[in-house]
Amino acid sequence: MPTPEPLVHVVDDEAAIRDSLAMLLRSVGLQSRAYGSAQEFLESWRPGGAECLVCDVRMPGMSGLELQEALKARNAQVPVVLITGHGDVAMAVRAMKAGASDFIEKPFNDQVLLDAVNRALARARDGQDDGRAEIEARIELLTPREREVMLLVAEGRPNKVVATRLGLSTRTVEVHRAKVMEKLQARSLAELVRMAILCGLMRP
Amino acid sequence: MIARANAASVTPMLKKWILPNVLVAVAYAAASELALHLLRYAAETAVVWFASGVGISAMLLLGTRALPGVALGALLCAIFSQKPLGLMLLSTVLTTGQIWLTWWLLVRVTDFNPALARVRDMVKLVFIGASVSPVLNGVRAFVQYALADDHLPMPAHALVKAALLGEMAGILLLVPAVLGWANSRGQRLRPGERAEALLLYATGVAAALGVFASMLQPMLLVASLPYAMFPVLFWAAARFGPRETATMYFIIGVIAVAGTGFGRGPFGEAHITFGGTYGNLAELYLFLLVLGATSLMFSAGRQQLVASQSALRESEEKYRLLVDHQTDLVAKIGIDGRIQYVSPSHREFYGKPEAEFIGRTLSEAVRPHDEDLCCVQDAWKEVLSPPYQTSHEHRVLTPRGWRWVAVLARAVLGADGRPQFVVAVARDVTDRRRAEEQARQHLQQLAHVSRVSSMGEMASAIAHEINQPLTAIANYASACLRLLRSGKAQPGEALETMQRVASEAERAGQIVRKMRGFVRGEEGQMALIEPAFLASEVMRLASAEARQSGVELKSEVAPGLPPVLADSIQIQQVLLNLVRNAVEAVVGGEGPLREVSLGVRRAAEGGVHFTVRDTGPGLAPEALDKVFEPFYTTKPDGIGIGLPLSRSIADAHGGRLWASAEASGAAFHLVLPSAQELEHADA
Repeated sequence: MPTPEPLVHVVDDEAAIRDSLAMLLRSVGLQSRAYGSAQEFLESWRPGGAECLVCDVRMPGMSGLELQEALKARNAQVPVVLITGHGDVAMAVRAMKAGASDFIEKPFNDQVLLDAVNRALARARDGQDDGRAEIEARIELLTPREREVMLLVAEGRPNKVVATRLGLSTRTVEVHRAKVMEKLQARSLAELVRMAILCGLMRP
Repeated sequence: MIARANAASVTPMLKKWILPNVLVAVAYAAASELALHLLRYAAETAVVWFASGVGISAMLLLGTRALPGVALGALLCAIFSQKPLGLMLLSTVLTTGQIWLTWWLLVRVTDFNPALARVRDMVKLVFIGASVSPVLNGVRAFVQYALADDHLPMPAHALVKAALLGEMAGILLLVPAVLGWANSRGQRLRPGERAEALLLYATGVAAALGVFASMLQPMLLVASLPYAMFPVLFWAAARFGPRETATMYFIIGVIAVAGTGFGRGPFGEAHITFGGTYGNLAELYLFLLVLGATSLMFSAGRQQLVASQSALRESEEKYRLLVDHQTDLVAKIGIDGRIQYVSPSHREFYGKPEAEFIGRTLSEAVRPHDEDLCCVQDAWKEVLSPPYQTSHEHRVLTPRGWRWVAVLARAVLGADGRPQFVVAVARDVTDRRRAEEQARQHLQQLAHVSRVSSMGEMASAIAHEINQPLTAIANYASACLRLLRSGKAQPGEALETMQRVASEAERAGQIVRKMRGFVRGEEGQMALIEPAFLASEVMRLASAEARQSGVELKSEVAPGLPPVLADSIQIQQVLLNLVRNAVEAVVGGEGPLREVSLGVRRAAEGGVHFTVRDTGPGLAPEALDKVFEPFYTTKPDGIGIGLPLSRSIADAHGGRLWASAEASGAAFHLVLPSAQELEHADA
């Protein structure tokens, strides 16, 4: 049985985004299929092969997060990359905990999206192994204090709350947080959450 | 107990009934006896008959309560005359009846006022009070003499004439004097007046004695001498009132009758004229009647004049008091524009004496603000043409600086229908203007706050809106770059991609432009706007938020709508506010249908009707109006200024904004007049 070509499903209510995403994916040789709404995707999608989903969070009708829940309910293992024009920490944490492969804010760097898509496709192909060992090694580099800060930040706590919890000044928390991001090579809070979940530091 | 109760009830009875009636009866009988003794040579019936005057006075003062006393007096009188019993009783009944009839005609029929302060009351007293009973008596006597075959000392008609005039004189002499004193109880003369009154009475008595008691005899005894009584009585009438006149008249009358009775004076026995003794008496009575009627009416007329003058003075004083003491500025201006009168309030307001206003034109006397000059001139033109009134507000220079005055002016028209002069009332309204200005500024600030807060809420939606084209641009550009770098790019493909980049960038720019215009909220210009344009702009502005909230936003615009004259930004603000409220209502509700629609159609009454419907929880009937009240809000974080502001914008456009409850959800309606309608309205 030949390995099917990897396929990226793009779900966005806005045509320009769908079209430009498809073009971006095509420019790196990835095949894509576009859908105007979550319902449309659910109706026509049949599981199979190496595939992932790039999905807008806010859409009329079913939102990206709801689509993610729906797929989970169907026990579908398709990795989801969520994109949003209006993200906040709480939404990112919620998405990652719900098992999103990645959470990206618009407008995004093309490489960030392509990396996320590739990671998602790899995850679809190889199961859960997506460099857990390496990330665990990075986490080993954190001081105990940095680790505490990382966990609270990954829970979506604002710096102020983290500072109060740990009895530190906000300024100190900001410094610790920057160090955490640097040591873990996390480019966004979403990635930080994903790493924390991956290494079992946080419950999905 | 019973005895005491009786005693207690007897005293008022005594005071109210018995005593007055006894007094009336005694006075009546005394008057008749007096008359008989005054005129010793006259036959019984030809004397001056004061008794009727007593009876009528008593009735006028006490009402029907005096009737028993009058009857008793008449009975006593009849007893004294030693008539047969039947005639005695008949005479009593008839006399009492006549007096009652006189009273009834005066008081019940003609509304006679016993104060005698009006000429008409004097006339009634002469022609009813002093005439009814004598005439009836005369008829009675005439019938009596006609029936009796007795030989009479004089022709019956002469006797009857004397008796009739005698009774009239008796009434006219007595009644005004009694009423005058009875009605002026407590009215005292001032010391100076009292002295003059004494002099008057002394002069009157002296003159009457001189004339009627022949004290001046024989050198001055001439037929026209009785006219000397006129100056005395006119003195009383002119300087005092009906009371003193009536009193003087009574004194003169008594002296005249007594003098004549003792055979003295021009009407005395010594000067029997044509008609004999009765003729003389008749002449005396006639003279007294003419004297009394003339002087009493004159005094009443003068009294009336004095009263009306004093009423006039009082009312003038009242108005002067009003004008002099009010803070409003009252001015009378001639139609030549020159000021004829200014109220004293001008002095304080303008800081210069009233004299400096009189004779000057308004613009000479006060200085209006240069910017208001034309409005002041217009007002002057306006007040001199129908409907001859004007009201305006302008600034004037006062010692306290520029003050706003509200002027209400009205021309007073003459009989020819042309303005005679102008009355202007001005009031200092500076404080009110200031408060209004402040309120207006507050509203503007609120409008700004509302717009800014509205923008704050919308900022996230806008960010999203701009993110969309930006994301697409970034994707297209990256894809294009990759394709070009890889060398796999088809020339057409790259061109098409760049075309899309350009159009997406254009879209982002448009969004930014729209937003900027909206946020600035600059004083918009009224312009002819197509309703469809307004609808599409609002849809565009609101779509992002609606999408974010998962609400479907629809619009339906009827074709061929007339343009409206509107400030585009303001109306967009109103519609956007309505749509955003609707979206929030839908989000807040739990309905299965999540829909907001903007409908635009021709209004039933002309103009354009915008309707924003939602499928939210709807509005309670009592909230339909309340939502337009400032600071009323159903939203947890609302400030409740959006809808009142929207309504004031609608009003300013000559339109209407209202809410209605629908089968599901609520609807807000904005009706704007079409541009043509406004034109017609102006024409």
